[in-house]
Amino acid sequence: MRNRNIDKILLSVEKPARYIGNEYNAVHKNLASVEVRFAFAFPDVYDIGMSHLGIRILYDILNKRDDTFCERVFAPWVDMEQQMRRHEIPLFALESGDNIADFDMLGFTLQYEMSYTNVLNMLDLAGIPIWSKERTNRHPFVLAGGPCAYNPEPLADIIDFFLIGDGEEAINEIVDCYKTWKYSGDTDRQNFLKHVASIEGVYVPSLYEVSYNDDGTINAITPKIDSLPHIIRKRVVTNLSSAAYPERPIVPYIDIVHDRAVLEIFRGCTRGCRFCQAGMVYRPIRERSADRLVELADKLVRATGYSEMSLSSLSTGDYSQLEQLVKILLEKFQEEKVALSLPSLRLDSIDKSLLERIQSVKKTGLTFAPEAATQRLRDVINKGITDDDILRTVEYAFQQGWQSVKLYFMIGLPTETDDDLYGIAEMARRILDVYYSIPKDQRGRHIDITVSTSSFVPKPFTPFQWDPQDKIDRLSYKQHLLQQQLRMKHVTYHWSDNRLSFMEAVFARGDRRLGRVLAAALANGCRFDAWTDYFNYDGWLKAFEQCSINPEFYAGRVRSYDEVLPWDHINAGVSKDFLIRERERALKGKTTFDCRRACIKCGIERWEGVCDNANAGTL
Amino acid sequence: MRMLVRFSKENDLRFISHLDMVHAMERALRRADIPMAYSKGFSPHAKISFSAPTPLGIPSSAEYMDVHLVKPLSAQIFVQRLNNALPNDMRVLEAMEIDDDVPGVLGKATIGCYTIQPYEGVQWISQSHINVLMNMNDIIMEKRTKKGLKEINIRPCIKELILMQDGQHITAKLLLPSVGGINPDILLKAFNIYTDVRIDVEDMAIHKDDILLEDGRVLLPE
Repeated sequence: MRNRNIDKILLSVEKPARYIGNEYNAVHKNLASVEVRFAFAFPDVYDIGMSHLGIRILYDILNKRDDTFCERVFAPWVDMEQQMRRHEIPLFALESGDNIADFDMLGFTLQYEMSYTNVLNMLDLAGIPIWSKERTNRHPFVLAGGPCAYNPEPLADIIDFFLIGDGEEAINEIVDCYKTWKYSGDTDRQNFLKHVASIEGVYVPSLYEVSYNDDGTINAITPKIDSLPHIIRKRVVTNLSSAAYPERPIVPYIDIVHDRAVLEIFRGCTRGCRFCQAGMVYRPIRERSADRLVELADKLVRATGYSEMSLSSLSTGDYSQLEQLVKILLEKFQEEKVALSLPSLRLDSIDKSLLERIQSVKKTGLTFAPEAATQRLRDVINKGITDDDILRTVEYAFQQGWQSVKLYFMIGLPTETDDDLYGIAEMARRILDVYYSIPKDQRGRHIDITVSTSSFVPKPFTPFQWDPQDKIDRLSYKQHLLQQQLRMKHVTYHWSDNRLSFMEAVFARGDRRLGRVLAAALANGCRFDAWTDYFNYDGWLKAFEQCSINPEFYAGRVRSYDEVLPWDHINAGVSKDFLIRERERALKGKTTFDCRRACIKCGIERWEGVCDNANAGTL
Repeated sequence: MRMLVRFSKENDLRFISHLDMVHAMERALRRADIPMAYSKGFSPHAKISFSAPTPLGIPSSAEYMDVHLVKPLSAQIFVQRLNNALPNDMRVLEAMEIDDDVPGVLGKATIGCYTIQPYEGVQWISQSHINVLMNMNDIIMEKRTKKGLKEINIRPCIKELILMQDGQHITAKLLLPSVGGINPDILLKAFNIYTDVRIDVEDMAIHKDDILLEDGRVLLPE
């Protein structure tokens, strides 16, 4: 039961509905009849966390079990945290209002590095020691998964165990393993951790020893027990059509970031953009069948009452039956007045007559992410889009009356020169020219081009994992140059905070020595770091100083191919050989084709029965 | 045809805003497969109007909506279907079929009826406190408006103030803020200023029971 004190403070915080739970389709269970209480945590505010699909999938799977009750918990917003600390209210679960510290398991999803301080803060608010070695049987086991778990090391001393890869199947095995341990009468937490480490995809960092070289690089990462694997292989769900999918998703009361029904059409991506971690670690590509998607779409609309549905994937246009699926859904939804959204859609990938009926296109206008403005640099990053693709599509769009174009680029990519930056302004200029070349009576009355740049962050398991990030000064110079170059009528330029990208780069490729920095940063007041208003750079710098750690060691250093990387004991599917090969091709400006044409031997082809495209086709 | 509907928003749902409640109701109507009429155009919207907002934190059985339907539906079936699709803390209390040409009644509500009681063991209002307030000609209070704090005389906003026989509950009839009136928190603060009782608004359970037309009639006649 929720504490009456909570009700009292709710009226003094922003959006109190973030903390009440009880949404339509939220699950409630009789506590007397459940054996395992699982709290699923998203280390950011409710509005962000509830927009995330993974939490909904695992919530559904766990709650289908009669023996388990899975609840949700999010990071209380700053105002709520203040009230909770003042009134000594510990972190509580949304469904029951019970204290998180009393749960059996607490699972975090790690979607971005800059949420790590929130993980620590949530543990602290729950009254759970932040260091795993200080936890006792009075505390839950703390686990974590999600894309950032591919380099689990910065949180190695904080999280009891990680799940690497897809969670749909492994989560059940973990709960089964926990029950077996709990009922065995064994009270040694270490014994459970040893058991759970035998599940494929599970990594228990405290059971691995890291040794270092004199220069601070890693010498070796070795298991402390002989029976443990030297390399932890990620979990892969091979058949998405038969995998569990939440058919009755929770419908939040407040307006969350993605307030619509979400249909995941496929997982993985075959394009092989060299900067993209998701494109590498979610391999291989696995589609849900169109039949299953149509069936799900119907159920989702009925169970939620949403008037918008979005198709979700890394690159919507690559779904093999997209046109057919969109046609069926548009027809089906016409009467029910459900709008269809297709984010990350390449406009060249769909029939133009369907385009006009798509909600996301109507609402946000045209969006392109060429990432780099010159063909040379696009070849380096293997982004297979040409100037012509873009110009042809905007011409068509302007003729149809569209008036706004958004362009997304990265700055600081390997091999980038000033010419590549001038290219960004050049592209904006050429798009403007296209607009003006259309007769006045055949185009919209306004034109509005938005250029946004983010600063490149090298990520683990990408061909650029050995590359340094540009120094802050260098990135700021580039942004300054762009500000000048983009001083054009009808063009707006947005850029990102380089200090934030720097911190992201440190933790993306960090090792377990950084755990102390996280604790120090939290003590210095850092949290909600991904929110520009709350990002406290001084707090971070001070934390590095307090721990005598140089952040440049992680972000700004060239690593050699033979250096032991902090994530070398994780097998994400793509092999190191492949990543080296891709990096070498990148430096030569050589592209690699989409692997549905022919297998490019990324490494996952060696896993039996996992990839449909494995070893297929010829070069 | 249209359906005039009275519904409640109780317990935890007192913490959701009016706009969030509107969205929740629209989704429930869709789940219930109610044949709503939609506006024409680029992004069609369901044709529904709602009564003026209840302030955040006050549970209510005084929410009203006027829904346009494209197919006739009996009030009984409407209530049954919608209640099956609503969250537990939102309930349809009554509904009435009305013709398209009948003018809307939601905007004509001017009086809010509230029940106020202390949660537990705090100093509480007695009949003499009520008499003090009700015998004043002017009760000047600060009211927060869009332009900042403003001094207003709330005495004309208080239509009725009764201490129930149990000595615990107060029922109040107040002019609604949508027509220049006040919410019950200002009334409670007036007790603090003009009488010798000291009450904390946070310790009070306030419930909005109904809204009435200017002449005191209910919106949905029996």
